[in-house]
Amino acid sequence: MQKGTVVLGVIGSDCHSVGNRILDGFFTERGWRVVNLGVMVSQDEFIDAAIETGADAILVSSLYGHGEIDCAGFRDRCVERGLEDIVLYVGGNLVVGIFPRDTVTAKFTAMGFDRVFMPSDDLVEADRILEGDVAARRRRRAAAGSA
Amino acid sequence: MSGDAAGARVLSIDIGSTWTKGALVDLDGPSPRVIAREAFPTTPADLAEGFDRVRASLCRGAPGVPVRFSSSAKGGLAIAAVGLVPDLTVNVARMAAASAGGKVTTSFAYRLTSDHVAALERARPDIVLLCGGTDGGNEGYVLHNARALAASSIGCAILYAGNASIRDEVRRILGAKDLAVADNVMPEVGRLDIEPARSRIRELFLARIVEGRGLARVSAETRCDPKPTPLAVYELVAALAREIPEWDDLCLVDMGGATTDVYSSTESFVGGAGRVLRGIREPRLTRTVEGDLGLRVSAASAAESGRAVIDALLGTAHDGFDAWIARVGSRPQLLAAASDERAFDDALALSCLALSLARHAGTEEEAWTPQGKVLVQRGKDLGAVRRFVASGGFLARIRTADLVHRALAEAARPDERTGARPLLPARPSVLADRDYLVPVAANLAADFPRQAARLLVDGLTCLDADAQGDRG
Repeated sequence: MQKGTVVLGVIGSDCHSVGNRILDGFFTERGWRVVNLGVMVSQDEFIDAAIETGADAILVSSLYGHGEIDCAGFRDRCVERGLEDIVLYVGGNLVVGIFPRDTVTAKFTAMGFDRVFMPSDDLVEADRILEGDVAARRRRRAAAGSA
Repeated sequence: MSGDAAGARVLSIDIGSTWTKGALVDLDGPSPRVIAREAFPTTPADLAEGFDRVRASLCRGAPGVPVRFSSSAKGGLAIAAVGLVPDLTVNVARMAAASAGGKVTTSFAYRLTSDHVAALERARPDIVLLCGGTDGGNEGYVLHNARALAASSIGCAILYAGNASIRDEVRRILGAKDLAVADNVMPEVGRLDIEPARSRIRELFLARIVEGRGLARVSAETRCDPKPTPLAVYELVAALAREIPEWDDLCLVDMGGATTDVYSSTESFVGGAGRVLRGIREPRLTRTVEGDLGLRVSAASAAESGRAVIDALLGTAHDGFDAWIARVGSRPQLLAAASDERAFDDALALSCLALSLARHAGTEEEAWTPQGKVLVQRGKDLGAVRRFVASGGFLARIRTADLVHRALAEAARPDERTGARPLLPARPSVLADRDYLVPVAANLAADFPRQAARLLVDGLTCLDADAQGDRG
């Protein structure tokens, strides 16, 4: 039994593909159905794929320091396109320079990302958090459906 | 080759909307050839009538000659495509419909509203192709759309080729309709599987669409099933690429009064360092059909779509163009006689060709990344295409390759807003189908692929400036 469906990709004009393949392998191995869009993925491509696959979560990677520009308005776009409650994560080298984790997290949660991950974060822990967030979303949806 | 044993002669008949045309073909020897041809007006009430006259006239004294035939009568096979995301399943549904010889007359994305359903009911397609969702993917939109169709007055065949996980539910919802089911056209994001839908569309064409038009008896008598003419041409392009490998990397355009059809057989994404493909990887063999681009029935919409190109081409010689468009739109048989009429037809054809090629081809644009310049490709790369076959009433008669090259140059203009460059053939060899062999060979392509390919290749006229032995 699969845990759910996640859409994975590297956003913007970012060609870093190694980490993307590691994440694909890891989350697949942990029981997720991974829809991997590869590198240089636009916001709309993430959302298109999430709609067609009925995804539970979108996992956005950004490795080249332009994440802030590429990710701006991502949640708004999800809302516009009917995915207002999808679990939305971002991770990688999100900004250029060294900033405290809290500063970076604040920036991206303000954009509507549910979780923000740094390169040093533990993947097993990320998987556990994802499972919890996806389960919470399903409960919310079930409650909304029965209301 | 299975066809080799089938006898020396075969009759190829193409039932068009105005003419039913036949050609008796001798398949023997290294070079198959057309022995005789005949055409009678199509008899719309009972297509068999015109068919029988052509057959009787060509097979006098030899009734046992096998027949292969196709039909584009009544404007061909009209398909309404319903998908989910425009760039994904709607796009793939359109591809599947076009490759099955259909013409997508309407298409809808996301949720079917009551307005959409009303538009569908008015459009009266032959088939509604219902897609959406990857396998195990979206259910909500797709089930909603199935229910909307179930509640509609639509009586035509509905083919479901969406999310396979909800197939049973779709069957239940659409149980009272004329429902057929095929594998999902896009089982995973970016992975296409259009063959099953294609073959189901062909079956529907036979069972539900041809039946009522007088061809059931013809099918039984000739022991041959008709196919949509564009499907036959699609099979011919496949046969060319397979049987005569140096003829792969081919583009064939069939420009008619109502539509402009573009077929290409070439690798859609070559790849290599610094190249990234975004969106769907298109199949090697594709067909697009442009319902707004045609020289007669669709002249008005073609003039509208190509306004900018036509204005630039005609310049000050524009007087009378609009009147000409109005005349040919209502009288499809009209041929250009006066020099200004010929100039109008040339301009219209060039613009139809440029637009249809630009829509068929993908694009590339530069993106600068910290790793350097990357070329981002979307759609199909036609850059490797070496041969361009011009067919259909107007294009078959062009005297030089000039019109094709000008249309290619026009189509190759980068998008003003994004800078994206269309990936078009670069100076392909241009060949004209002067003897109208495309429809003749097309009917033979499925069962006699080698002979069909040879018949066409030997019969085309090369229009390249440096070509030797031009028969024109």
